[in-house]
Amino acid sequence: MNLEVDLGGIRLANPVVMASGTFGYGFGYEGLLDPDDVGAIISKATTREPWAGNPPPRIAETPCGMLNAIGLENPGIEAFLSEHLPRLRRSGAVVIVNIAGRTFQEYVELASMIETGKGVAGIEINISCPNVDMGGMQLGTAPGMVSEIVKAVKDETHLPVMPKLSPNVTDIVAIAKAAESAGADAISMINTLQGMAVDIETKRPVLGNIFGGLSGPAIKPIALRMVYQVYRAVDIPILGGGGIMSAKDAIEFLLVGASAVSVGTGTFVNPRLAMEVKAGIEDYMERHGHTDLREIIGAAVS
Amino acid sequence: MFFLENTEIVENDRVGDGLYELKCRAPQIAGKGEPGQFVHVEIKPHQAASASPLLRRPFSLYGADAEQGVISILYRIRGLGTSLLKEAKPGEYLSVLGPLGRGFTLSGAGSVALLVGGGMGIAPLAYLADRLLESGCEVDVLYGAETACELVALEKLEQSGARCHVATMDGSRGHKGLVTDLLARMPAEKAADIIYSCGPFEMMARVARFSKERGIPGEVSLESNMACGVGVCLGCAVRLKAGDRDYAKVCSDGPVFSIDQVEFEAGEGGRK
Repeated sequence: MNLEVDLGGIRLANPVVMASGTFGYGFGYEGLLDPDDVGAIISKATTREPWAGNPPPRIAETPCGMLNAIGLENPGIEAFLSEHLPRLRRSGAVVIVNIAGRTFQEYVELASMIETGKGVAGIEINISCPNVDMGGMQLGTAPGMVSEIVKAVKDETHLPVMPKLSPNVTDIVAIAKAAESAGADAISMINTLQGMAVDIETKRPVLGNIFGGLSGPAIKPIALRMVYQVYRAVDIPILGGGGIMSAKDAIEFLLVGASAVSVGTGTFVNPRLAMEVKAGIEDYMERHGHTDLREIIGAAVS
Repeated sequence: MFFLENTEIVENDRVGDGLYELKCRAPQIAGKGEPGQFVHVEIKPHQAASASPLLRRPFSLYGADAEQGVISILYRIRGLGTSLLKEAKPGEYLSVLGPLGRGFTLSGAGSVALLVGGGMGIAPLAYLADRLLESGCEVDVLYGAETACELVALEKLEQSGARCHVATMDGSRGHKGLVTDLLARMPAEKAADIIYSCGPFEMMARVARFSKERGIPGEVSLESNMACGVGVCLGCAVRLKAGDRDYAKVCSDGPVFSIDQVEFEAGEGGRK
C-alpha cells in the first residue's frame, strides 16, 4: 500500500503531519510519538527575535473545541536553528518550519536564514495567526498581501513554500488563488477561527488577549468546506486540517481534496492520535480496495 | 519520562461535600510518580459522540502506590469535567497521562518539614507527607478548609504520623480562621528546615512572606488550566515575577516552583 505523498515538493512517507504549535519541536511527547513516524512535523512558529507571547489566561475550553491565544511565544530563529533543529534532524523527521513576523522584512530574513539551516524540508508561512497585532492574520486576509509575501519568501529560498491560510476571510478561494499565482508550492489550511469566551462571574473576557483562535472538532465542518472549495480552484496540493480527532475525520479531509492532513488539538487529547490516524487510513484503503493514497484524494469533489 | 495508560478505576468515592477520591490501576505511573507531579486525565463525554469536554484535566497525585500499581487523585466538583468524572464507575477505564511536571524536592532524612495546605491544595502535600515520613523526616502539617467536613485528608495525614494543625473558616474544627494564622504559633527558633505549600493564591502569598521573614526555604505548587500538559502548547503560561519578560510553563517548568521564584506581592493579577 502506498501512503507516500508529494506535498508541493516535500516528500512525505505518509500523509499525517503534526500541526504547528501543537507538537513543540518534536520531543514533547517523547516515548509516545516519535517524530520520524509521522509524515512531517511543522515546528512551532518561529520569529526573527524571541517573542514572549500573550498574557495569561491563554486557553479556554469551549463546546467541542478550545480557544488559544498563545501569541506565538518562541525563542527566535537563531535558537531554533542552533538548539532545536539539530536534534529534530537527527531523529530523521521531515521538518517544515513555520515562520511568522510583524513586518515583511522579518519574513524575508527568516526565509533566508532557514535556507542556510540544512535539514529543513519546507517552509510554512504563518500569515494567519489571529493572536498577534501586526502581521499574522492581517497579512493573510488580503489577496494582494498574500501574493507579495509568498513572492518575497520564494525569492529568498529554494525550499518548497506553503502559506497557512486564515479562515477569517470573506473569500478563501481568492486568497488561495493569489498564493498559487505568486508561486506557492502547496497550501496549508486552516488556521484557527477567531473567537472569544466570557466569564459571567467576573464579567470579563476569559482570555488575557480577549480574542483567541478556535480549534478542535467545532471547526471541522468549516475546514472541510474550505478545503473542498480551494481544491476545486487551485492545482497545488493542500495540507488540510481543522478538528481532526480520528482517522475518519482525516479521511474526510483527503476525500475533499487534501493531499495530506494536519493533526493539532487532537494530540492534546490523545497523544497517539497521529499514529491511530495513519493506521486508520491504511485500514480504510484496504477496506475500499485502494492501493495508493492518490486514489482517494479529492474523491468526494464533483 | 511519562506514560499513557488505560487505567481501570478501582474506586471513585465521595469523601466529602462535593469532594471525591479516585483510585485507578496505573502501574507505570504509580512506579514513577513523585509528590507534586500531576496526571492528565481524559474525561469521558456524557454522550459517546460528543467532544465535550474536549481537553484532559490535570490533577496532582494524592498518592501513588508502586507495589499495588495504584494512583489516587482528590478532586472537587467545579465544572463540566469534574461533574462527569464523578460519574465514572469502578471497573470502567480512564486514559491517564503521567506522571507530568516537576515535583517537590524531597528534604533529607532528619529534617523538619512544614507543609501548609488549603482546600484541594492538600492533595499533593498528603502524598509528600507520606514520602517525607518514610524517609525519616519530621512533618508538621497546617491544614485549612472552609469547614470540618472538607478536611478529607486529615485522617490519612494523622495515620501516617504527621503532626496536624487544623484551621477552618467556620470554626467547626481547630482554629477559626485562616490556616496561615497558625504560622504565628510556630516556634520562633527553627520552625522548620523547609516549607512546602499548595492552595489558594492568597494563602501561598502569606506562606511566602513567612518563609522570607524566617529565612526558611520552600516550594509552592501552582495551578493553571492546561491543554497538552507536556510543555508543547504553552497554554498554561504564568509570569512568576511582575517584571519578568518571559513566562514559565506551569505544566513542565512546574507545577512546583521554589517559593522565592514566585512573586506573590503583586497579587495574582499583577503577575499576568
